[in-house]
Amino acid sequence: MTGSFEILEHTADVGLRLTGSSPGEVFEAAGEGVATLLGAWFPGGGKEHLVETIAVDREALLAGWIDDLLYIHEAEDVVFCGFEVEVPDEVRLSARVLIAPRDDRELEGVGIKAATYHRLRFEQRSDGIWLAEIYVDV
Amino acid sequence: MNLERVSPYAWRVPVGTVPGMHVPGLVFATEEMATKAVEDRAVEQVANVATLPGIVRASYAMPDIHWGYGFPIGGVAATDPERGGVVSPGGVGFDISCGVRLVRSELEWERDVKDDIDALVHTLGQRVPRGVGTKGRMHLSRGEMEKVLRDGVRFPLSRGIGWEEDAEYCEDGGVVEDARPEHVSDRAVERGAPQLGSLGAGNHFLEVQVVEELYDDRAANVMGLFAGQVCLMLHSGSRGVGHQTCTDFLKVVDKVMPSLGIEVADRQLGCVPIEHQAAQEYLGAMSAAANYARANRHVMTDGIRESFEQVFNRSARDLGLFLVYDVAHNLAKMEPFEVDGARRTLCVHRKGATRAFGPNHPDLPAAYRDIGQPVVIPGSMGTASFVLVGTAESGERSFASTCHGAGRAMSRTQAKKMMSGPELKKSLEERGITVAASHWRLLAEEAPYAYKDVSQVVDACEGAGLSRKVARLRPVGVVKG
Repeated sequence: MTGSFEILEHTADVGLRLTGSSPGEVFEAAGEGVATLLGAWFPGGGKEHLVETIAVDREALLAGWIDDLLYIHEAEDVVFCGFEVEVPDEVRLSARVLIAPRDDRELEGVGIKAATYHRLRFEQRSDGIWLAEIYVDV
Repeated sequence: MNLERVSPYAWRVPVGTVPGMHVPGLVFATEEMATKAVEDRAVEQVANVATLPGIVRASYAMPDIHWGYGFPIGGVAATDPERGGVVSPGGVGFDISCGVRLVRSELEWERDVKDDIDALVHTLGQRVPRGVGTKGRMHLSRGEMEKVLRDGVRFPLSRGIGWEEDAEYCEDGGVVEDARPEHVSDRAVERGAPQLGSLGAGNHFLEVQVVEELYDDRAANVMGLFAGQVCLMLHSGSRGVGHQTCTDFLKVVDKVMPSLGIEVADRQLGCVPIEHQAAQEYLGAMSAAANYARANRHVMTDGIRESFEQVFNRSARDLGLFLVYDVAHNLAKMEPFEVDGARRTLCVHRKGATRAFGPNHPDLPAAYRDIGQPVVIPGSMGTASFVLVGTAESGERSFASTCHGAGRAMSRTQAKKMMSGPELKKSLEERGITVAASHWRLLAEEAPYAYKDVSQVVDACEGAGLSRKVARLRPVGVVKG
């Protein structure tokens, strides 16, 4: 994975700026960014969990992907170990998410409630790099 | 961005500040607060909310206004269904019916509690589950979840949890009418089933507080408050149920809106006319999530009473652990108001704003009819909290709304740069405040200096005529989510 994320300042919440050489890398960076914020990023081996996300456009697909990860994290009580995302078109993605039971791990992260559509963007820059920004409610 | 001064505590955002405004914005704030709100982009959000179809009078902001997502935090907007008015799930937010409750006691700080505060804070931390993704005091089956979503605090009461009179002192009697559990998704039910009776994380907390000053002896007496008294304040919401419900309906609204020809200034302001089926389903699901939030705080109150019983070796009734009031600050409600000389039922969105009915409102508990609705305003760990009451004129001024807290002034990253969690803990303890946190590293994100001065915020509310001060409470013990 060569995508990357950085934190965007927000008075009450937290933003993520995501970059990658392909949309798939941007989604993978989003996964790592969210897992890191949650304190639930434990890269390495884990059980494979398949995720299919569908949305009305690429921006909403990013929000939907993050919401799917938040649901998995909470409902299955797991941490994240890796992401491989394929993006066949603008409105769907297929992902292999590696997860591990949370067990007695203390998660030193923020509780993320959801992804928002506030200032949501997802575009390809003139140099070919894909860039997305998204804010999450914490 | 130009603000026009209307009074010492009110600033108009003129129509035309952003394209498509139907009404002006009105920010209740001191000059300093208003200036900061402009710098913080929050006033731009006030203007954006003014573009919502069917909005009436103004897009309001309370003195604790700060940058949110879509709506500003501290935003209030009322829309009229008879004029194409909309409901916006983002105008309620993800933590549906997040709110605050205050429990009083017969205990006095100096005489009864001071020597046992460490044990009390430790016990509260043990008996009330907290932190990211934590399981709650109750694990519910799907059928039980449906009962909570429909019946609010009536469900735990039916299981012998809590006191019957608790319901009376909870907004809406602890049960929001018109809840439609059938519109709450399977995912939301699955997330909420193991979490009932849990605090969550972030800015949610329990605080042991001492009544430090009374501003209105009569109102304080009606609420059972007296100087030196120990109280317990609780801030929490609807956990995964609310988060998932808002997420689900944002997607629905986002998909439906283009076909209705509605355009919004920020995608998070997505909305549909109140008469639309999607809006009705959202309002039903939102009410169900609100019932979960009320039940959640009710179940945690049981843990609070157990903690006091364990530490003081007396029954909760003997200790006088009665609920003063429980009120939400993230909700949309259909409420009647006089607008342009006519009585109209409006959809009042309050996003980080508290309902504040004045005296004689029929929805208030009988005991509070003469004084107005209690409003519980949490401070910022280490700083004071307040009990206010709604005013007779708040209906006309802000659709009976006031602030919900101090309001953040600084990002989490900035806050952590100023002091580490352990340093903050030491600083609080030097000021006589015992702290239990899920994670010390994260404590600094919620440091008092990351928030506005809550005293100035409530003074601005009083100056603007939105609410009146009754009591100030200072923290002596903090349990953070």
